[in-house]
Amino acid sequence: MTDPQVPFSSRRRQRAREQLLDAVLNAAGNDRFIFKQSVAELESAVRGRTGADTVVACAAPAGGIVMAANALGVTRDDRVAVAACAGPEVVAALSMLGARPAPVDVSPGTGVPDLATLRSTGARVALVDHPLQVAAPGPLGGPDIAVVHDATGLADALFASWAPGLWDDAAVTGLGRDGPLLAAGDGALVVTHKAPGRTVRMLRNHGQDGVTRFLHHQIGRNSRMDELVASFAVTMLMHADAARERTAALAARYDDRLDDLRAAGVHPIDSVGLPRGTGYGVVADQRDCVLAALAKHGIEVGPLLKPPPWLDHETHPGAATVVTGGLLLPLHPDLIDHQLDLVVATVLGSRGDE
Amino acid sequence: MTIPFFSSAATFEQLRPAILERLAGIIDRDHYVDGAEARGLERDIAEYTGARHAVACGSGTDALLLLLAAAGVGPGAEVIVPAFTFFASASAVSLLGARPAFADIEPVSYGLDPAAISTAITPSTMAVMPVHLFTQPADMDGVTEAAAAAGLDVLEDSAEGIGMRYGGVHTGLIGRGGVLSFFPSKTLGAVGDAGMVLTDDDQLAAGCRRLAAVGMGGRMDEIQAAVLRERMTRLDADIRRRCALAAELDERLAPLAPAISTPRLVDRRSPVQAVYYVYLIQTDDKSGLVRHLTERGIGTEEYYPRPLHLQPCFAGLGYQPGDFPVAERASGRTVGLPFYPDLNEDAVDRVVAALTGFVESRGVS
Repeated sequence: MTDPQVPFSSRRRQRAREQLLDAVLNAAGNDRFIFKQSVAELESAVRGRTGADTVVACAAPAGGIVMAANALGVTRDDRVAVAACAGPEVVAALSMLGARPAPVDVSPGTGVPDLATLRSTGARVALVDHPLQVAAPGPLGGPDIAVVHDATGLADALFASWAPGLWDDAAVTGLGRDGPLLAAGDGALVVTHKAPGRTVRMLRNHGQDGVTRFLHHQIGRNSRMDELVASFAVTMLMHADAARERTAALAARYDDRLDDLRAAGVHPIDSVGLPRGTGYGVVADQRDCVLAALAKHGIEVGPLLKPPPWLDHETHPGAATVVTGGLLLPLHPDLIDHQLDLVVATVLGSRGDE
Repeated sequence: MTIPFFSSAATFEQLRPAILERLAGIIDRDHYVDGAEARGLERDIAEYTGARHAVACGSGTDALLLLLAAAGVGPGAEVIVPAFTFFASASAVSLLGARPAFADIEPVSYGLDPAAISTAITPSTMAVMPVHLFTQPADMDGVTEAAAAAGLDVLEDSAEGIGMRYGGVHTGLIGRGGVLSFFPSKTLGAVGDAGMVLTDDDQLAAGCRRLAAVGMGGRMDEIQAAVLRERMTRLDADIRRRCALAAELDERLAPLAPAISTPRLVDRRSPVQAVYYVYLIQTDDKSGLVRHLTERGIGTEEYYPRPLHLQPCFAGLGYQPGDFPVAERASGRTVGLPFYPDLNEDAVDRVVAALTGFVESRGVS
């Protein structure tokens, strides 16, 4: 199989071979497996970048969302507000919580629900994901509804905007192939406030308080980030500035073509002045044509959204639009300008393929 | 120089070239979760244990969740769990909305006492979960008979059971299914969390895979799988080393009885293959012994200082002190000594000397 002309992801992780091997050798060679120095360093580094009270490293995004929801009072059989186009992490979290979904529609212009819509469910907690890899335009929660965000892929946006409250009560960001938090295995970080943070920290290690072993205050989970995963992530985080700057410049290059893209029926999602996540999110009127054209030119796109069981196209037209038209175009620091220009040209040219 | 409770650094150093070669493959594929190494480990473990199905996941706890959920454990159900075991045996039941129903253990094997099963059965009981702790399998003849008499599934917590066999069958495969934990200190340990479900039941395996595919139970990291595949190449040698180490400790600590009791293997109706994962001793003055060893730079682990029915998180289940006297007594007396293939003779000498000094200093024998 030949390499794509324009890959969706960068090769940053593959180039970090020495850092990865160091992370493994340091962990295994020194018997540092779980909850040692690197996890603490990563949590501290992300706390510093966000200004959050609490950052808790855990095993994976779905588990992080579950623990944050538990910390905010969600128990089995509770109704939890979710987007009608919720992604796999939120779907998995609901199943693990044993909670019932109260699905709401989203704005096709943002990919997320608004506060009024969330409140209309009567649920006390909402789980909100960001399928088009942009932050919400403002806080989504209020005094009567707490919100946990799945911010996977959106670490840069989270770093830039946790303080003003854009991420409500908690944001969970997973380690990935791109972005500032590179993954050497599964892992996630729960960014939250002090009180729920204490509960999340206990829940991630079988309900223990971190002081007395084998004394279980709560029915917790096993959701721990491995030391080698944390070690690699924190090393790469320290060298992520250049990648972030390059990615921002590329996003701006896409933005410069906004009018052309809209005229071609491909609608970029407003990033509200914050860094985009993994991919440049758009909603295409004729997505199949766009996909066919991109494939023909060897241009990869991000994974397409799979509709969750509760999506009803008639009741949730905004969510249906996001699921059937949403698309993530390549956006990563390895892209060179002419590759991005090729993506745009191909998208614009796909209109002629109708 | 301290003797840690556990270390595998020397083993890792010996396996380092082979592990680095596997890591190079992972880096080239740029695929770090649930990939070729995890599939390979499933095949390797299936072959080693004789399992028809092995399903990799993020941890032993995740494996328990998958196993129980696939077996239909959920709200309204009860599962009989021994009162003396690692927390996850019971928490996995609770996390699925079911209720753990505790039962007492045998005093020597620490396994679920088959005679205690019948009194824990209610109309909601769905399954029995024996746990194969520290060294030897639970009494699986007794457990399976008691479960069969009541029409209950047997779902094994065989997290510690790699290499243990009962009647020639690997633990985890005697009942409907079981699990393995590859937590770093386990007999077959990774360098972080990892786990696996074992079963010969096609339907159960399919259920586990379905649940794993929708995100229940974490995924196994490729690096962990790669390390485990290399560690498996010396698993039988490690088990033999553990047995030899245990035999040496048994002999050298024998004069300290009854102040220090060493592990004993229980004869069963079926032949048993034991594996010394933890060398657990018993003593009246547990906290004094732990303090004594700590002062001499010797690590220990207290498995388990409080039985599950007396944990704060299970207070709502209504159990009281005295409900499970054997489990409660074990909690007050058990101490795990440093015990792993990399433990050298000098360390063994120091541990024996420290224990001897403890007993002599208290004038007990």
